[in-house]
Amino acid sequence: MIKAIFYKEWIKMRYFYPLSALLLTGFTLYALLRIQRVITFRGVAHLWEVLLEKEVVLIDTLQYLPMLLGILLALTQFVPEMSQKRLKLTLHLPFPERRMILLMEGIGAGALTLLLLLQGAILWGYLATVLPPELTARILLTSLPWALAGLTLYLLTAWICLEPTWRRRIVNILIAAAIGRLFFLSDLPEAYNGMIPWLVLLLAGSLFFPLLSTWRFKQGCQD
Amino acid sequence: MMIKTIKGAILLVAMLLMAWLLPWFYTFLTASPSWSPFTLYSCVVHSFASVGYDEEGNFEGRDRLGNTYTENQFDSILPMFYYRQLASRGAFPTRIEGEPITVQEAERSGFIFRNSPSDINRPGTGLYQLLESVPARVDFEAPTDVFRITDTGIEFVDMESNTVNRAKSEAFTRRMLDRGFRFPARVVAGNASTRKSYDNGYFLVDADGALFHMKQMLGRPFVRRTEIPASLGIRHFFVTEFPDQRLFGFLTDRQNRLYALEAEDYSLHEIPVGEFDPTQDGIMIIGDKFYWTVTVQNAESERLVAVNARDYSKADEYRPDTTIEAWERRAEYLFPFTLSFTSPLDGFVKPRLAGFSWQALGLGALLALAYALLHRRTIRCRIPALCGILLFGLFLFIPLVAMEKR
Repeated sequence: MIKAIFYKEWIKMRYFYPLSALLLTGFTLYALLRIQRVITFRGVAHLWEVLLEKEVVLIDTLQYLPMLLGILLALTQFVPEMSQKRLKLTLHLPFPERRMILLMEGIGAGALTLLLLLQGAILWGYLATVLPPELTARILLTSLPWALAGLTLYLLTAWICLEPTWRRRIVNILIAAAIGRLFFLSDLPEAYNGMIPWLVLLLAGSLFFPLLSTWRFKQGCQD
Repeated sequence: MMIKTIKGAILLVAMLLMAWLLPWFYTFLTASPSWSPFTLYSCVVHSFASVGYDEEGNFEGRDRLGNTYTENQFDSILPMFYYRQLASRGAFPTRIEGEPITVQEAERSGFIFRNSPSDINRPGTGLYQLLESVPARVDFEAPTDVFRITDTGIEFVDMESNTVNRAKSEAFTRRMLDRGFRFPARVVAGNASTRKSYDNGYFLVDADGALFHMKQMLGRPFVRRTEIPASLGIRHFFVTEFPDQRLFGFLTDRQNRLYALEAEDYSLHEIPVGEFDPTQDGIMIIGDKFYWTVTVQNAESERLVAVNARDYSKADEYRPDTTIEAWERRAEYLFPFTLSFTSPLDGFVKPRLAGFSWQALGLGALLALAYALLHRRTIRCRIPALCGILLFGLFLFIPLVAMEKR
């Protein structure tokens, strides 16, 4: 059954996932190419000086990309479930409903994590060759909340999609928007170092939010 | 049971978001700017003098003795600050407090030093750049390496090759160890800018608390252990490179006292400004040959101290009245507490609870009453929600009403 659920989720994301992998890799390579251009034109010492003297990480173009991909992936996975109330069929499958929803989310979140790990590996692989460990860690730590934003917004979008009524869906959207804002309160490198555990807690909590939406769906809440 | 827990968790998240966004929005709409007039200690009238404007918007300087001044008169009572203006009118004095003075001296001895808590409270890289203090040409050149201080020594990393320069690292480490430096460093302070007329190098506090001076001269290490006792407990050091070359910089100790370190003999002089914690207080020092006007400011208070620059004695002190704004008082009745993630005092994002106020219980009680009236029929099973609204007021009332089951 688990295999079948995997297959069902894959069918939904089979076009979007390779496309998002391409987009993420493309943008990441573009950000690194921009850094390489700085090195070619001004020398690697200039790059170090900019990173040391100015509060920048030079990969800001990647800031909102994980969040955008997270939202789109959740829409790809969960909008089809809600159109014509197909979720009813999903919940009727001979599989515990909570496990089913958690598995669906887990598949999407896992797929997204894989992409973000790939992005992290590309960034680390390049930056470690031109920068000292302190600056490489600084850039990667600064981008960590962006990745967490992607995963959290993926789960919150699933929560919004699975919600059966529009009134509550709007409330959910407002909450998700405020939570999304939390990940982008400062452009200062490593500003979020002390906030990471709280963001991880929020991410872990968000994993269970869609269960409330499906419970409300089963309770017959509708517009 | 699980659904109840999830509902509770969502409500908690929504409440915390309210505690963050409502006070922020309230402040955004109602806060008025606070303004303190530009004030300096006058070496002519020996009182603090402030820039002000009358009702018609015309310039009106004032001193603490009750005198008012026109713009030209104001220049004259602050000759060491407005020396250019006075010189252009040929009105710069030849003597101040009996001492002969020239425009060139006024220019050379004048400095402005500023530091705000957010300059310190921010994540650092642990990498620093050491200039060549005796450059081959007039201007300083940007270094080709950076240094880090580890538990066992100092490491210079060549930027071009991203590798440790072993020879230079060993030379500096050996010299530091020879001078009695114990790794790692507690404080590392320097100014790596190349846009300056001379270089004071770095000041380092070692693991024992001793203060060391480190420079690079003709590619070789210069390391000197100062006589400042380790028991002082230096917390922060600010290297300065002012035109008169009188100081190495300012520093604070574990009791938040402020000192100046003189360049001629490494002598330490306490600046009598009282407690100054660089992580909480902002500071501005506008100095000249005769007096320094030191302004120490934080969220609650501001004080100005005039220091005699010749012997570091206190010449005068002034604490302007700070009043709580009306919008701040009203907020105490609206919100039981506030949650924020950023602060003007630092560059970190982290949850901070503040502004706890019992006065908000009144509004909480009113909202609880309204909620009880809305749910008269099911009041018995809503006792926890009512208690919550009483305590958390608007922050819980809004999410509860918005998330009513329909």
